[in-house]
Amino acid sequence: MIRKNVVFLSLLLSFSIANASDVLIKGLQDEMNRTMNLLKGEEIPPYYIAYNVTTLKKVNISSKNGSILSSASSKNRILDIDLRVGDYKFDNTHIIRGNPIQFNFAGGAIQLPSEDNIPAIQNIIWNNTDKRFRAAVERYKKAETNQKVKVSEEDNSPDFSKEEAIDYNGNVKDFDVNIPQWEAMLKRVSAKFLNFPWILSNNVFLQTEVQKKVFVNTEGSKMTWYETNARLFIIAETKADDGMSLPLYRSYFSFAPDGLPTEEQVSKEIDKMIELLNELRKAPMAETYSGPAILSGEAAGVFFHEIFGHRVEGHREKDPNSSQTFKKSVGKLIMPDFISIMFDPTRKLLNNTELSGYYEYDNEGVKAEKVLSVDKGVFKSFLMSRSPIEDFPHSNGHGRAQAGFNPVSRQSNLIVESTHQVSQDSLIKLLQLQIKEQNKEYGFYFAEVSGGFTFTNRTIPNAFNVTPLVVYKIFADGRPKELVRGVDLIGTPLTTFKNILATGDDRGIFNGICGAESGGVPVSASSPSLLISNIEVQKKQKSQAKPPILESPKLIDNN
Amino acid sequence: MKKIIIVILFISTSFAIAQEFKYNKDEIFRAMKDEIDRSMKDLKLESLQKPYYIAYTLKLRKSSNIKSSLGSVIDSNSFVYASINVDLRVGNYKLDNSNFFDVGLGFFGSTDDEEVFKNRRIPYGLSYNSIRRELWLATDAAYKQNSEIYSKKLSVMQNRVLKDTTYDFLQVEPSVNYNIQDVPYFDMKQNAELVNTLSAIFKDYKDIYSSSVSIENVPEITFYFNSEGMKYINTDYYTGIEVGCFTQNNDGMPLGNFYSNYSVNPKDIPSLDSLKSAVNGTAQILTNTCKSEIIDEPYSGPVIFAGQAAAELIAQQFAPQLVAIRPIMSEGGVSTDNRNSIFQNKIGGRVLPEFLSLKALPTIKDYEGTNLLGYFQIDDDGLKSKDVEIVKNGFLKTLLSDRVPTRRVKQSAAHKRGGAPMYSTLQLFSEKSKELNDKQLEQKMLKLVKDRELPYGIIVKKIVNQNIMYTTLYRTSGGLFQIPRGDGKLAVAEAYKVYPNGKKELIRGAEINNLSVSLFKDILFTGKKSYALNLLAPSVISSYISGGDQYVGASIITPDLLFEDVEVKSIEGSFQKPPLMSNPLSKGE
Repeated sequence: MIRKNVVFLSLLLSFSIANASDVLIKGLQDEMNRTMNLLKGEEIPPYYIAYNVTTLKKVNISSKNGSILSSASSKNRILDIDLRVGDYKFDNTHIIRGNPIQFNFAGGAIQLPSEDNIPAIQNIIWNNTDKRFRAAVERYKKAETNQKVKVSEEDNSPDFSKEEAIDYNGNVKDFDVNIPQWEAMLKRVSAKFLNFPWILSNNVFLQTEVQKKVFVNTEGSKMTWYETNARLFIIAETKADDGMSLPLYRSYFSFAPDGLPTEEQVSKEIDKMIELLNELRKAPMAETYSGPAILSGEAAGVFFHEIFGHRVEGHREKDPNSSQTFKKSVGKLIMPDFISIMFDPTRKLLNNTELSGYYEYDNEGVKAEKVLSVDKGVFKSFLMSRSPIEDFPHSNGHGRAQAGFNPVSRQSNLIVESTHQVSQDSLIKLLQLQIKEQNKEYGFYFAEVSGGFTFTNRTIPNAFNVTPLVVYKIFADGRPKELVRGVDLIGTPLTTFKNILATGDDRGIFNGICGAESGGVPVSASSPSLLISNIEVQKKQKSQAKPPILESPKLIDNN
Repeated sequence: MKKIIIVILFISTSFAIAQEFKYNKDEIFRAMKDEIDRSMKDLKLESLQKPYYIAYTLKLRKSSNIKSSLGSVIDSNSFVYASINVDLRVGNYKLDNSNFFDVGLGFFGSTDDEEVFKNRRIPYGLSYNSIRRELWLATDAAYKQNSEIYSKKLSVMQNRVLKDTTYDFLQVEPSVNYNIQDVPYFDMKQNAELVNTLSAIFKDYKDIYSSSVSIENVPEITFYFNSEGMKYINTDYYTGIEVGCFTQNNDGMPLGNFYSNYSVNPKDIPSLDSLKSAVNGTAQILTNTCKSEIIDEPYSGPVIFAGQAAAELIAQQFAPQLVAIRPIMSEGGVSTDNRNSIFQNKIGGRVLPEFLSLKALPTIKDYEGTNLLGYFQIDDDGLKSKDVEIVKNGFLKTLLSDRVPTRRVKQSAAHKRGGAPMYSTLQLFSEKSKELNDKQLEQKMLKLVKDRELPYGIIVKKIVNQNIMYTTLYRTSGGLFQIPRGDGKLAVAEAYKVYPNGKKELIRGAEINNLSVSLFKDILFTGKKSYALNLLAPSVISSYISGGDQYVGASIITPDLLFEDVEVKSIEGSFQKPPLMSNPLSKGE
């Protein structure tokens, strides 16, 4: 039983990620204070420095066709530096208008020794802080001139918000992974795919991570906290006779490996995937279409993450190149009044499912806050990092980044709630009614999606794309639903919001990693299923490669 | 069919690399043979031809790396992986799909979500079923892509006047060779202690901004089987220690120094005392260099390349020209534009002074106690290694080749290494009459200096290795170390001005400029003793084209070399200013 394979520990271990952080904090503070002192006489001295040190303990095991593809465990430590010159009102991070290159790349992950060798750590910090300072001064001067040669800015908010200093020492969270047992389990479950030669690719893999975060800044914050996660992924792919690649994914999230599904559960899920893949490769292609559709809870979660979530990330409202969809929408109805949307990084569990967008503090050392973004259809709030915007002068703990990137406002746990919920049967009946009203033969039911993407820039259409994996046609005349393949769900945000008619009484939860300018951050999106009066689908990109010429080789009995 | 069986060290059918994983060679070869047999017989699409040749290469590799700075490990990893390469040919030996570069597929790959057949990562459990499944998909993809390329090549040839009728691929006698060796255990903990001890030495050198010491151990076992019946197992491994350190002069000039030691066996690593001494020496030279003067005016005159510098000079400038390179055809015609192609048509011509000869000696295992990285028993095509006389009395006799012939080299010299023809161990031999001891060599240089009314001559003792330049120095410096741009340039780590009175002065920030292979004809004298350098040499034929390795273990054995005329100048550029703040290591000073 996998549940017995790992031990979740709250105590200090010998080979533990948890060790006395006081020495490290003092080492960081000493170098930070020394830097502030040595640079105070410069023409444009730093007014703020933060050092964010993440110690990572990782295990990655990957299995394919009953054999181990890779198995590695590692421990390393990464430093992020936030150094600002100027002042809170105007600093080196100020947007430079008219320049097409606005990368948010912080210069890459800076490796530090995993042990608290303070002289070695301070040497690396010194070298990199010096480079950051010079880059900051260079950029500050560019920004200063840019402001003078361009028209007045629409948003005169400061570049950096003032937040309270925090002194926090969180509880130690740590676990060990029984690698041999996991390897054996992953081999057993992935071996199931070998019996199905038409499954051309498969992979079952485990990723676990324990992160110890240490944060200090010149405002007086001094913090240590922990974040853990364990993820199990199953990927299998087949090919239709016309060349179309048909993948299916399953992913499971927990804060520790013992929260992941058991071998029996994984095995059963693989059986279901195999069955579904077999149906998919024989399923007919869907055609381009515009009309009513239902999005399952999980698909709806991704849909809201893409078309809504990325547009309420506050820092985008300051960027003149951003579409600023909701900049003037505070207090206005932007979607049906039965829909509310919140982002809650303080929530660990929803309907007995652990949420990967949970955290205590963001990457700017600000306490995570629950944000009610839409209340009964009315827009209320943006997600805020320490980059203020008009009417939102403070962070609400959503300044997030992958190590090596500068934090910007990002999503956490997106939770959609509805006061207009109907049963699944009723939702299907409502869909069929819509199909008839629109004189269509069928509508779509999007059961599973792999993810999606959206554009928020003004220079290109503000479209979104959700990539479905499992789609059914629902017929108006009551014929059984029909599995189809080969379409992507597309649209534009404001129009699509207006078309939401009702929600189901269910809830789907999608745990994943969201990639954007500040790197990949763990998020979740949950929603009841949605009935939408009008969506559009376009044909999915299709491989032109033929399936293999020869039959799959015959297996031999290794025993 | 003639079969040669060489069993060098055979342990059992079940074998372990550093006890990390096991394999069954019979099971691996059975899977390869079964898939080759049915593919040769049945793999065919409509009117397209069947493959005429298929070769499978399966590699099992364990890579262990530890990197330390100032006494602490900053990165450590150890992992095992397995990969396969499928070489499938459509057409015939005279004309097939190879030696043709499809620009679209070559640069961007297929947009059709096709299976990978070059360096395809496969599970390292290596069961028959798993290997067959991977070979089946990879062979299918290779057949489809190479059939398409073959057809494109024929179309391009129909529209062009092509005089070269050289075969695309040579036929060779198949053989069976097993080179199975026990791989020495690499102790991660013990080696972490070693690099920590060495990297801690830099704490005493306050003028050095950043430094690192790393160790790498890569054992590899290769299984090869082709449709001609060639079959082999080859064991290969190396251990490398790399030390890099970086600083800036007061005027911002970026300065680096390094030390490297590549051994075949982890047991060959020099003793701790010897390594400590090497690291101290490396740090001290950099510290001294930082305080020394630059060359004000570009220097053009006699230069001695001593020890490592002589070997590195040959490795970077001369050795790459000794590999047979087949011009590649593409939609745009046949390209001969390769900077390492200068000697392709020079066979029979003089490339060195007549008192010098050069041989490839892959069969020599060690040189005066140094185990050579260029030693190998079986090349990637399965051919037994053999020594080759490349330059005799200054005249070029042949080039190092594999099974791909060129207009001037029609036979394989059994030098396919890392996926393409590549040099192995190269040794330079000098006539006794031209050999001088260190003092005599220096005097000869000073005589030339006097004749040319120069104020000094130059001895170069260390040239920056290309691998270390990118993987160690550039990274350690945070991107500040200046990589010489353009052909004919070499970054110098240690060089001295030598004045007529014998006084030697360390030079800061020098680079060698305008080097060319024809300059090697102007070598005047050599030293008496030879220096053996093991290095990871950049593949002469890009791994991007060959699908092979980026770097290949090689060795250069050479005496010191006195050149008549070499250009040395100070590095130039808009250097970043040195740090505004003092190094925290110098606190309390």
